[in-house]
Amino acid sequence: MKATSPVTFPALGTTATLVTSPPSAGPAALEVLKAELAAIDVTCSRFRTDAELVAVNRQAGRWTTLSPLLFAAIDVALQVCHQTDGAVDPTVGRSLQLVGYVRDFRRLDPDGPALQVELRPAPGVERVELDRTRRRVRIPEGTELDLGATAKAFAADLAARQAATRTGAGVLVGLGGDLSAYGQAPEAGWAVRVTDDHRGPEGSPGQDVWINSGGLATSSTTVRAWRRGGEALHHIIDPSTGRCAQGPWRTVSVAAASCVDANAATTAALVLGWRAAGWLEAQGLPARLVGHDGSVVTAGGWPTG
Amino acid sequence: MRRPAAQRRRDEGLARLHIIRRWIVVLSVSAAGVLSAVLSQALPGRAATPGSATPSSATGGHSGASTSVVPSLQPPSQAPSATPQTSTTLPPPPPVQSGGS
Repeated sequence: MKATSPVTFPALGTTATLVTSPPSAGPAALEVLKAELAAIDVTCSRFRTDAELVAVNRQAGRWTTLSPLLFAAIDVALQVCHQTDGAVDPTVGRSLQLVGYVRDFRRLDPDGPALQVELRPAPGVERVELDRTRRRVRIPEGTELDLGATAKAFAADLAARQAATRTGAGVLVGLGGDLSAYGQAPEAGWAVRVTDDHRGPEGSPGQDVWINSGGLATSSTTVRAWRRGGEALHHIIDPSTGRCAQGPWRTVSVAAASCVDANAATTAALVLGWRAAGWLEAQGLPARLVGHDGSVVTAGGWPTG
Repeated sequence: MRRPAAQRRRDEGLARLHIIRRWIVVLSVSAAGVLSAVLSQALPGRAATPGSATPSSATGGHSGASTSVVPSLQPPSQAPSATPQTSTTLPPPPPVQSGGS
């Protein structure tokens, strides 16, 4: 069966992509995707003043009742923190602010004066309390949650699954280069180009691969990057230091059963640095790691070529 | 009127016994409390009532944390392939980019 050409549009401060197989499912799938994205944006954004997450951060120290969607998103973020041994931690919100990520990236100054702050480790999730019975959360005072490392992937999984269920078609959803595929894939599979920047021009250095289902995510320190006092900064925070991750890899791609798992692994790999390839191998996750010099290392059965 | 010596010794003995018994009670209560505290630290329990708030933390590092086991990250059912899954006469769909964002 044939797939549509990718439909792309701006969403969540990045680019959303949709492909369906057969093409006739496109309009209905697009409707589902747009509804999911609108819901995630008003729920999980750290930059919208009317976002539910902003209210939670503002009420740190007190119990806050959550919508089902934000409860699920925070639950996923806490699980991911556990699954990555703390390498992907949602309590890095304050650290991201301290390194200058204070507004939607499209409105962030690419350069600026040196930071005059003392960076500290993220508070950690041990004291984040999630009350499943009353669907509420309490975060410690001085802590800010940031769901940037998981919410996009979570939304991609939700939207792809719902669109596939509603249309009965194969659906591939991409959010900022994090992909989730549900339903019957095209005969040849879903064609994916892994590269440093999901908005890169055709022919950007990378690799073409085919997937059938599940998630494929790529994280990179070369995008969503800025400079302060000449220092290169980016959005991947090492929770153990509160600083931008400083590892040997500039870009990591991982395939997993879901986009959330794939994205958790790519972010963790950038934080883990030299230990990343062994960790990914042990998890059985196919991965492609690109060093700062462009050299490529693969793990977990990622295809070479 | 003076009590006989035997009666006096009996009363003094009973008084000593009363004091000893009181100390035994005090020490027993104290020991039970200490033992309870030690055991509650060593063998933490959890709330039995389903309606009570059971805060969960991702690391499960404190009492009252979620006891559910968090599954590890799940590999895909099939690793990506470097070539199309099947040869087809249909033109391949243009690739979707997966890159940093």
